[in-house]
Amino acid sequence: MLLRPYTCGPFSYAVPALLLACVQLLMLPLGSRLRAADIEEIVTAKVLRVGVLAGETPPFLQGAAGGAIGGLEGEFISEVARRMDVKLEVVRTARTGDELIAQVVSSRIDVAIGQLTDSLEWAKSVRFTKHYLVLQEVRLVDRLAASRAGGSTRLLASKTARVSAVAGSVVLPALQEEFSDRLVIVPTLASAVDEVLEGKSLAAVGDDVAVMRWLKANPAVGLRLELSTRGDRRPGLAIAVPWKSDDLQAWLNLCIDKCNLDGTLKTLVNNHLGDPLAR
Amino acid sequence: MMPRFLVRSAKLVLFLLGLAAVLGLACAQSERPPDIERIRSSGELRVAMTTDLWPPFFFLNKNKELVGLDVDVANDIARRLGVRVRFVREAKTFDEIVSMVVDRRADIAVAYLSDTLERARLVRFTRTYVQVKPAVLLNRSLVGLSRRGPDLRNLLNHAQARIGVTKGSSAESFAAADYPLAKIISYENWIDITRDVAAEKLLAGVSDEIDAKSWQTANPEGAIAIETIIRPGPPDTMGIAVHREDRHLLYWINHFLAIKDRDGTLGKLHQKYIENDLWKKDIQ
Repeated sequence: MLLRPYTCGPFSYAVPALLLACVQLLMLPLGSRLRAADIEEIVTAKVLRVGVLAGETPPFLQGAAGGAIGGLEGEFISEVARRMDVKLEVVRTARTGDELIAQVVSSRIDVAIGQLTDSLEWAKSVRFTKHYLVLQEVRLVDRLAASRAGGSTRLLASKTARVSAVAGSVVLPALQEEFSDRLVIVPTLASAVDEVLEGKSLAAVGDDVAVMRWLKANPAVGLRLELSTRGDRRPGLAIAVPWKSDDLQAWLNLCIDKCNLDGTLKTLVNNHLGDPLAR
Repeated sequence: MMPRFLVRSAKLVLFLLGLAAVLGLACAQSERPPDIERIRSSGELRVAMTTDLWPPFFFLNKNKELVGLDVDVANDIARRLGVRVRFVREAKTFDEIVSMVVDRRADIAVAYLSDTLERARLVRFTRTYVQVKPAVLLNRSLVGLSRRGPDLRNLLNHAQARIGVTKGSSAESFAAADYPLAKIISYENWIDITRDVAAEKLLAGVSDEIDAKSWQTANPEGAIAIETIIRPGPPDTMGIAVHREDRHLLYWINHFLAIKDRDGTLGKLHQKYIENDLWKKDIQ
């Protein structure tokens, strides 16, 4: 009985089979793309599609003249595209880091950049390059509370200590590991500091660039805060690529090495960040 | 007119091509790394180990719970993957652990497993997460009788030298490579090797600093008959074995180990289990 359709007519299997074969032929370019040749595809299209966050995040990413992207990361990824000899197509639709990573996973973009730290959670679905910039975690505690406790380290050693950090900050993965449900996520560094001054949190935590910019803009409030760092908390920024794009990842790693060796990255850091914490 | 069997064959070939296309499409639409997705959907990380216990890497504590350096590492990997861990202790030898990963009876092996070049032909190894120094136990009276001087290679690399190694361990291949003229004898376990070195049936037993220190601690009076030498030179490096097709899992575990190296976790584990022996108080 199973063979009956086979004997019903000469084209009973041939028609669907031919249709399926056509589908396969159409898929051949797609298949070859998925297997490897990630760089070739970008070079052939002459476009590197880079995803960044929708809002501006100076001094890392901001608008520049002629619709280009500026800031440290904007200029860096433009330099990467120049070295790849392709144009940059900027996709600025993601509102959060999670959305940016989702765009990489779905291959809507070739790479993503924008204060992305290579967290283990994100690395489950994408690959990260080596770090092109290493930041420093900085903790701001109430100077008076720290003095009463015998120092900020003692103050934060409490098992009930709550700390505040900004949503999407590069310092979050390590803080989540350390403080778990005692970590309060707030929208801005100013609100994290408010939490500290109101006694709701023991520390406002951020990266050195964000904290030093905030302290510069708020010197009076800064007097009430004590600043501390931890040597082992140095989150790095990396470029995310699709998990299959190991060739592209290797090329970008080499490109980062060369940008370090020829001083390109150092110049970008000096131009945009200055020297927040003796980097 | 085309013969009927040719028409049938052509139709069958076209059908198979079409089927392949559909299957290809299904694979192409898988956006997330299939290796990590497989583990996440199963809800557990299967970690291969030997049936024998190898303290301080994996052993039973006084509550009969499996603990140790490798257990800590495997638990942390599973936790960060968001799954529970299941230790599959079925392998009789270390080489058999590799087979378990190859045959997909386990997802990874975290089991005091040296990343030897022979094993790396079958599986992929992560970066080194712990390393131990090689060690040799020598029978003092046989060494004296041999009159071959203090050089270790000179002492062990000759036709009369009988050297004991644990079967299926990395020491087995290291000893064969380092002392090609000696008679290398494979044993089921390290205890039997030390017994035969003490009984002058073996000139030496080759292993690593962990085994050597364990023997020393358990047999302090044995130092009269047996000399322990922690060999200078390249250490024995341990890696986590991953199936060679699980490339993103390999990338992720390497990334995990790099983070654990940077934040000092691996250093603390080395201090706790390799440099100190406080863990022995907890052993069953």
